[in-house]
Order: sequence, then structure tokens, then C-alpha cells
Amino acid sequence: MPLDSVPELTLDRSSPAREVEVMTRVLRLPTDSVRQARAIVRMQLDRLSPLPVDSIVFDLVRLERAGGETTFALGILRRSALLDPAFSNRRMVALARSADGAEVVFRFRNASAVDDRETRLLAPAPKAAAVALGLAAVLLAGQIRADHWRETRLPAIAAEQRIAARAARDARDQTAALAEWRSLDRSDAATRLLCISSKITAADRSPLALAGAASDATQVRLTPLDAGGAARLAAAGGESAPAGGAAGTPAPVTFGPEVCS
Amino acid sequence: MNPRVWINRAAAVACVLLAGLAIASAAAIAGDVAAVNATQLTAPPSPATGSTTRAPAALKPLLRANAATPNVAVGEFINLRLGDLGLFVSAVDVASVRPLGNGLKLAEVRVTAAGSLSDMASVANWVAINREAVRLKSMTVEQGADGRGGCTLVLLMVVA
Repeated sequence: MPLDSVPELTLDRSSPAREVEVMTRVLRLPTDSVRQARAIVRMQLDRLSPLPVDSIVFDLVRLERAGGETTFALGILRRSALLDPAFSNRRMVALARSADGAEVVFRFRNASAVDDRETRLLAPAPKAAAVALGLAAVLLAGQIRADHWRETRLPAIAAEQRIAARAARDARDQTAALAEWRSLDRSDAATRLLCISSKITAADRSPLALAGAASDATQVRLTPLDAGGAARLAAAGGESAPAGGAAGTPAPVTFGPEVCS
Repeated sequence: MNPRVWINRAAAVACVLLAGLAIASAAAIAGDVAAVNATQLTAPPSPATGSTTRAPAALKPLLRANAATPNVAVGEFINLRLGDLGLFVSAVDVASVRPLGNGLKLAEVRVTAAGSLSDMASVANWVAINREAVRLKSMTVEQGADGRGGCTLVLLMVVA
């Protein structure tokens, strides 16, 4: 049904409590989509409304479908009505009116209003801020205390670590020292040298000239001055090193661990 | 404008800021605790009480040295004692001083001296007599034409 054949707008003033005037109208449009219907109405609004287009707002509510057409309820409201202080904090103003015998709720967008969702969401904000303040104060105090605790505890731990490290190092050194001392329990360089000397002089008590001597816990090395000395040393159990020195110089004689073991 | 709305907005902003402050403080506390725990975990384990080996009861200190200057006391003792045995000590180097337990320490001493083979034999005799206090780790002597030569001794001495 064309728009210009639809009955004229009706002003609903039935409820004495309702101060806002909403002009209602029933339209039949060849579309089921509210979005498309709104686009159609927006184009025809100057014909559908007795008021200037820029001074009104409208809303479409789908009522029923019949065949290829859909019945919509058109509600038209003056923009100036939304400036009412009662609507100052309502972003969407819902007004229930009757249209074509049915109760329809029109929702008009109030651009000049503060979002009522914001009001609902921020209502507990003061209480939440008070709780947050208390919590922040407690945690801040705790942080100050924790910082002080850390400043005193870290040096103490470092000192304990130094003491523990020193004790561990001392323990290792002690173990090594005792092991080295005990390794010389059976014989050290002195006892081995004395033992070899007694073996040498046991067979021949005459003095033996040596060019040098070296001794440790496992062997004694004596360097004779002449071949006779080398022979005495060999007779006492020493082993001559292969000749490699200067001609005429006897090689050192070594007494291994098996001698005087 | 509705003053109540502005009050609520200010309260909401304050709530967010305070919540951020609270979270930051909580994170700082957690960081402090984690830092202290991490430092404690990296500490080397302390040696168990009594696990260190005790020094043999037969050890006797060769000398008592000042804890502050043990090297000086050892050097003076070596110079005096080996000098009595005929060696001319030119250098005394205390390579290490390690604990033995029971208040005793083991000093490894490297001695460079001049002497003869017979002097070295005297040193060997002295070491053999005082085995519970000193041991000869190694010795070398090179006899010169005049009967004296360079000597090198490495001694392990028990020091108190």
C-alpha cells in the first residue's frame, strides 16, 4: 500500500501521565527489513510528518507480516522533547504508545544525553575507589616494608654465602693437606735418601764423592763423579741412566721405589 | 552537566589509578621475595657439621706462628734451623698454608740455599727425627768445585 494512502498521523494523548507527545502512524511497506524500512521512511519523512524534518526524530517498530508487505508502527517525536531534564541522562528514550490497537515501545536516540549505561556502570565507582584506596595503601606499606627487608636480607645472605664458601674451601684444603701429608707417611725424600745412603755405605764405608743428588718420595738420583762411584751405586741397587752426557762424565744413577720400599 | 556524573567519572579514574598502584606494589613485593629466594637458592651448600677430617693426633707443630704473619715466622725459623745445619739460606718461599684441623696448619715451603751434600744429609737427618712435624717433599743439590753448591728443598711443615 503506498505511503500516501495510509491514514494520517494520530497524536496519542490518551495517558494523562504521559507528557511527551508521540505522533504514531501505521505503515505497510514492501520490505521485511527494519533497516530498509527506515531508509524508505527517511526519504518520505517530509510527507509523513507535519513538522519540519530537522526538528523531529522517528522510530520504526515491526508489527506483523502479511504476504509481501510488513506492517510497521512509525513514531515521531520532537527533538525539543528530548531536551527535557528527565531525559538528560538517558541516551535512549523508550516511550510506550498504542498503535493500531497494539502497545508499541518506540526508542528514540537522545544525542544530547549522557549515556545511561555510563551512569549505571559508574554508580558503584565511589565505593570501588574507596576500596582501591585502602588496598593501595596496604600494598604500598607492604612494598616499603618488603624493600627494607630485602635491603637487610641480601647482604646477610651474601655474608652467609661468603662464610659457607670459605668453609667449603677450607674443608677442601684440609682434605688435600691431610692426603699429601699421609702420602709421605711411609717415606719422604729424607727417609729415602737416608735409606739409600745406608745401603751404599753398608757394603763400603769409604766416602763416596757425588756431583749432585736429587730425592723425592719415590726415587733418589745420585750423580757420581767417577766410574768407581757409579759402580758402587749400581751395586747398591741403582740403575744408571743411558749415557748421553759429556764424554767421561758418569750418568746419574737412579734408585727406584722398589729400593728401600 | 550533572555533577553526580562527574563525581562518578572522577571516582572511576581514581579507582583505575589506585588499582594500578596496588598492582605495581604487589608486583614489587613479589619481586623482592623472588630476589631474596633466588639469592638463597644460589648459595653453595654448607659443609655438614663434623664432616671435615680431624688432624691425626700424632702431629706436632714445628713452630707457633702469628696468624697475621705466618710467612715471616716460617722464614725466620727455616733460616735459623737450616743455618744451624750448615746451609746458607738465600730464599724462603711459603707456597701455601692449608688447615689440618685441631688448630694446626700445613705449610709448604720452598727453600733455596747453598750447602754441601753433607749439609743436605744433616737436613735429611733432622727431618727424619722430626717426622711428626716436618717432611721433605723433594730436594736437589748440585755440588760445585768447592764442595758447596745450590740446594733446593721443598718442606711440608706443621705450624700452629
